[in-house]
Amino acid sequence: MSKILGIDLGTTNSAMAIVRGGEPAIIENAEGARTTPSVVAISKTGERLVGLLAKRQSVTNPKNTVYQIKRFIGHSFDEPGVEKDRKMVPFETQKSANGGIEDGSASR
Amino acid sequence: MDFFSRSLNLEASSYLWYNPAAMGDDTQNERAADDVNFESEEDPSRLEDEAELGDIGVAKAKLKKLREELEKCKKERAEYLDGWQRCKADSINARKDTEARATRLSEALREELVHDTIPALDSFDMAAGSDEWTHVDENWRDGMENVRNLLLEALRRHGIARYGKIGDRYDSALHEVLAELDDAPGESGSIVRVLRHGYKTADRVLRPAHVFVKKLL
Repeated sequence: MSKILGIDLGTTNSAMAIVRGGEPAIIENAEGARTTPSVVAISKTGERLVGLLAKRQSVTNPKNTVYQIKRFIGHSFDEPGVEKDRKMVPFETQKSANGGIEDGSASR
Repeated sequence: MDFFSRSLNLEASSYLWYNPAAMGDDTQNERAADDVNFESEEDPSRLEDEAELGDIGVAKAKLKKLREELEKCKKERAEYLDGWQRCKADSINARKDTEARATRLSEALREELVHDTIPALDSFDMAAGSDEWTHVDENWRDGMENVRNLLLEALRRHGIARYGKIGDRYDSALHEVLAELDDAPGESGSIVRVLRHGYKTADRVLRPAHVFVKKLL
């Protein structure tokens, strides 16, 4: 029997919930927290990091740590608001084939 | 009487055999018999057929109805079984969740106590790391360090360990990097300064250590 997982993808933090006995319940992450930072990274050793671990190393690896990505989801690269936001983030962004935005490290 | 009865008999017999009316009756009787025969030979079979056909029709309709009811029952059975299985799974999960929650709650209480205690230990660490610390009376300093060690020992007995020291390899699961230093001594990616210690249980980081690391190449 499959369960439905609901994800609240927030700009800064995300949460996941399932229905248990008719009531929605937030699932804790591996670190025991109910919310997970909306951050992903590729560490300098090539390791993929998600959430808290990605956030912890963000200072050492700003170019390969992606956060606040929700600001770009669903927008096109040339929108004025997007242009402003792009200047605020340290990671590289580029125009995708369909005119959207993709992370510079997307190929990895 | 005998004569009469005989003649009557004769008459009766003649009446039976020769009376046209009787003949007509007989014919009618014969016809009726024929009819009966006809009916007995043909109509009953038709009636039986019709009855059979009627029976088959009724049976078919009944069968169809039963099949429909069976399908409906099967559908309902699948629905109820599915619902029951889900309920059972939910009940098992709820029981496990309750057990896990009870364990987590006791851990959370312990962690809360640790979280409240950590700032005091941080203050001890900051005091011990300052220049003034070296100038105070040695006995008093040793005494204060013993108090700190007692606190740390108490935490250790409850399965909580303090970590983070210079020279350790940086691990994003344990450490939070606040800065990268280029010109610090040590290996690339190693901790060169600990701003605050981390605390962890056997399987969980309660608070990550804040560190400076030697720049990763």
